Amino acid sequence: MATHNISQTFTKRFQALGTTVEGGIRTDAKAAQMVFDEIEQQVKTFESKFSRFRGDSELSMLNANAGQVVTVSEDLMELLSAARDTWLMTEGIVDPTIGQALITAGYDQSFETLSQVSERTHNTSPAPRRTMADVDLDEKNRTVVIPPGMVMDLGGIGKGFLADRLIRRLEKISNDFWWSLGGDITVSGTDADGQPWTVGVQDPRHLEKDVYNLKPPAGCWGIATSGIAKRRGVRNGQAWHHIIDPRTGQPATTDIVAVTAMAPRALEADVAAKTILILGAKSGLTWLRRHQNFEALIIKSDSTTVTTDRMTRLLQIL
Amino acid sequence: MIPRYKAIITSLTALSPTVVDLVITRPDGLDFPEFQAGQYMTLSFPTHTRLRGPRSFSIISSPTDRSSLRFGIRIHGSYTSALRNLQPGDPVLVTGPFGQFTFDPARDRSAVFIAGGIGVTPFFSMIKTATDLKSENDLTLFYSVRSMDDAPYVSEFEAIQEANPHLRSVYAVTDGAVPQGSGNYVAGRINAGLLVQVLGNTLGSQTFFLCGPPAFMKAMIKTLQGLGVSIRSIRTERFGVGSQEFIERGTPIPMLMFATWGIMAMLVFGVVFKIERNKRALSASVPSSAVTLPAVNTNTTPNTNVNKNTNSSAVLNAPANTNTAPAQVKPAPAPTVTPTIPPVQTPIRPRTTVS
Repeated sequence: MATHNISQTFTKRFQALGTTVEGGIRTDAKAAQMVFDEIEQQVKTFESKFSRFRGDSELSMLNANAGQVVTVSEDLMELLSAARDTWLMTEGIVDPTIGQALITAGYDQSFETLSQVSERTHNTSPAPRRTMADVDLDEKNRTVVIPPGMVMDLGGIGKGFLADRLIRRLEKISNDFWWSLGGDITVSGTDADGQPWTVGVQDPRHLEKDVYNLKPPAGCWGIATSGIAKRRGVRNGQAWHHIIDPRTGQPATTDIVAVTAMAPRALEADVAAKTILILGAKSGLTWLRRHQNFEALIIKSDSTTVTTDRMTRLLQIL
Repeated sequence: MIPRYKAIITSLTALSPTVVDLVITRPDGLDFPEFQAGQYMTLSFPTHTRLRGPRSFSIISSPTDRSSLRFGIRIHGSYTSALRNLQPGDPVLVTGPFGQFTFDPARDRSAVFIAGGIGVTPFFSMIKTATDLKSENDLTLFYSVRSMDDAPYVSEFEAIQEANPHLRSVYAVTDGAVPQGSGNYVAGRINAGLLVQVLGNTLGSQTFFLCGPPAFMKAMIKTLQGLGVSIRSIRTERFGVGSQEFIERGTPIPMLMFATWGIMAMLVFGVVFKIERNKRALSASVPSSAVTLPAVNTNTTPNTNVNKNTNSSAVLNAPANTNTAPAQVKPAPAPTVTPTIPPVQTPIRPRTTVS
């Protein structure tokens, strides 16, 4: 629903999903308060149901019952279906069945509580190569069977999936808003000056700084950045980070430090950033060009940057 | 969300020693989604261990009949070799359509399709579509094959040509005997002489669609450009070896053939200038060994709670006009980055951060 004569931007910030959730919307104070409350509730409900790190979450229940037929909620089935779509779209590069590999790599608890240096021992034997194809989803009967030993982790797509849901709610209030789930951004419309929202792009080598300003074109866009600068650490003397290459089950070896991707949907942007990061700059761009309206900024480990033509026009170096 | 469908294999046919033809339908009898000639789908075969990983394949059937989808796949490598183990009735997960290498009869009034080997598959769909629609587009197919023993879809193209008076086909056989008695077959590679001989003075008015292995594509682009064809008139899709890997160029890079050296110098200067700025920005941001304390933005309330695991809300419900002004973009450290530095309340503004 469009709003008229709105000049004020109301903002909100809270902690959830192991990160900072924040956003702004141009509307009146009453509508803003209402939608903020609803969104906070929606985000926290999502976290309680689908976090791998919460023992009482529905996802943990599913993981604990590997090998058995589990009836799941409509929400989880929708999320699992989205995960399978993502897996197909990326030809297996973004795979939610890498949970065991994450644990093996060292990401066995929420990053908030994870020490970056740990000497605890882990079973480092390679996990069997299982993929989303091994997961039996029966959408009609809403049942799921995951193979014994598999640990599903929906963190790779969860924020994007949730952001697309939040957009539906925000759009009912205003066409002009932005929302961020831990740095995965959705922008729509314009700011108080009638200009496209300016999105700062974090410098992956100096995280308190921005390296670019990005001004998305008209419409609603998802913008996500994926990199190896955060959620990393040292375990038993070995460096690790949380971007797992499902082809090897190991932290991805890539020539990229960070990728910022822009796409019509938040989930698509999230997935595009991860896929390019894992594939590397050359193959990642090849994959990206197959998808209409997907744009990317790639910062490589040799400090050079690569961008799609359209993205170049949207960036302002800082 | 991208459409995804469950389907089953209805037929699997070996068209040649190295090419299989796969047809799938939906078990519920419904049509597949709308697609454009030239697009591709991602397939996964969940009941076959070696074929579970999703791969992309060009659709060769026409969007005029979506009751089934047909794919032509070259056997090469362990993945595609395993396709021989598929059986009719096996389930398939289908996602798509994808791709921008498409033929539009309304736009591409006069089109030339140049195929190398299995790169012919998207053209089969394009030509079949134009024929089914009884369009009067002037179409020319150049199809390069190694030998007639490994030339899938030639007989079907010949049948289509009988139904479409606006289609010309030329089959270039690079290694092996050439069928006698037909003017459609030539020995050797597709080259400039052959293109000129067939297309004559219509070269400049054609839209060229190229698809094949990388070396073939490179040679064809060079040949066409040598004939004065603008890169804007060339649309390409490259098939990699084994799995089909595509490189598309929806917006061809303009050639600077006729630019003056002054304009080129300005462009080079601009690029160098940008690269230098980029490098400086990045090199300036290399973390130093010295610990740098964050600058605290005095306009915000410092969060003194070191325990980042708290879920306590920090709600700033006041109207804010700070979202866009670059001058106010002076961010303090992101709270979740460095555990040793106390988190600081940062301005609420759109910012994409590494996750």
